[in-house]
Amino acid sequence: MSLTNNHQELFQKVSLYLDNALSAEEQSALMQEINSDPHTLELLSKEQRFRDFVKARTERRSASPALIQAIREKIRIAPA
Amino acid sequence: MEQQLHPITAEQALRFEKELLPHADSLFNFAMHLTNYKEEDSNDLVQDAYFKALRFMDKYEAGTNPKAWLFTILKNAFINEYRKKAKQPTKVDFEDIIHYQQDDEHGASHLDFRDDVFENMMGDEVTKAISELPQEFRTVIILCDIEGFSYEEIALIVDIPIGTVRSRLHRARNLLKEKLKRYAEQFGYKDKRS
Repeated sequence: MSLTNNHQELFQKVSLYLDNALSAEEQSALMQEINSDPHTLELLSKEQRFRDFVKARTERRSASPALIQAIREKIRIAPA
Repeated sequence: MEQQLHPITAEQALRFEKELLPHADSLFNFAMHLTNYKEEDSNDLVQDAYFKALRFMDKYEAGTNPKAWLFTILKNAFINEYRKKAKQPTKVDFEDIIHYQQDDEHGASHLDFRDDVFENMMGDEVTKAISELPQEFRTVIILCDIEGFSYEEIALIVDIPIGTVRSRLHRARNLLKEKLKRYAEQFGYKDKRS
């Protein structure tokens, strides 16, 4: 298997790990790899930082009070 | 849009207030991404989603996943109402996909995100870059990386197989990295590596 394919496979594992999509067994295997290979840890750290960066820098606005009020006004409670 | 009001019980009203309404901000932001950042359309979409939730409160089970339920309702409302109204229906940006696929063929599907390049970005580059992604890719990135949904939840919300969720996320993140890298280069961010 070429170096590039190895890297891609490792990146996929790291990505799945960060998405909480690995089984317990797969997680354990990845942790062993991280403990034995600094490159794997670096890859994991970089990808985590990228995702943190995207989440922190994506604009998020609040729903307006007028919107919330309009929704609340539609609630009708049935008589007991 | 005239909405027929369906009375609910006091218990359901309390559950609506405590479990469903707190997700209004997340829903609003998701709606903004779906409607290409049109605030009025987004407000209408969120209202529509909550009205539908009120209509079907008897179907909502306490303790289940209210956020995923609401997002599914909103996504379906968007598909049913807003795509029909759009002057230019959502289209996939094939240029981006082709460009990505060519890179992938050369085995360069993972781009190295260098935080020394991006750490000084102060503006709205990330939001802009996400907004420029094809909608299918934008949706999965928002649902996973911003809203924290699992693959299974995303598959239900978007109505696609889990394998498709995984592959779209992979492509979406690489497209996003590529766009951010281009922004960085465009604005002259310097390579600090010696």
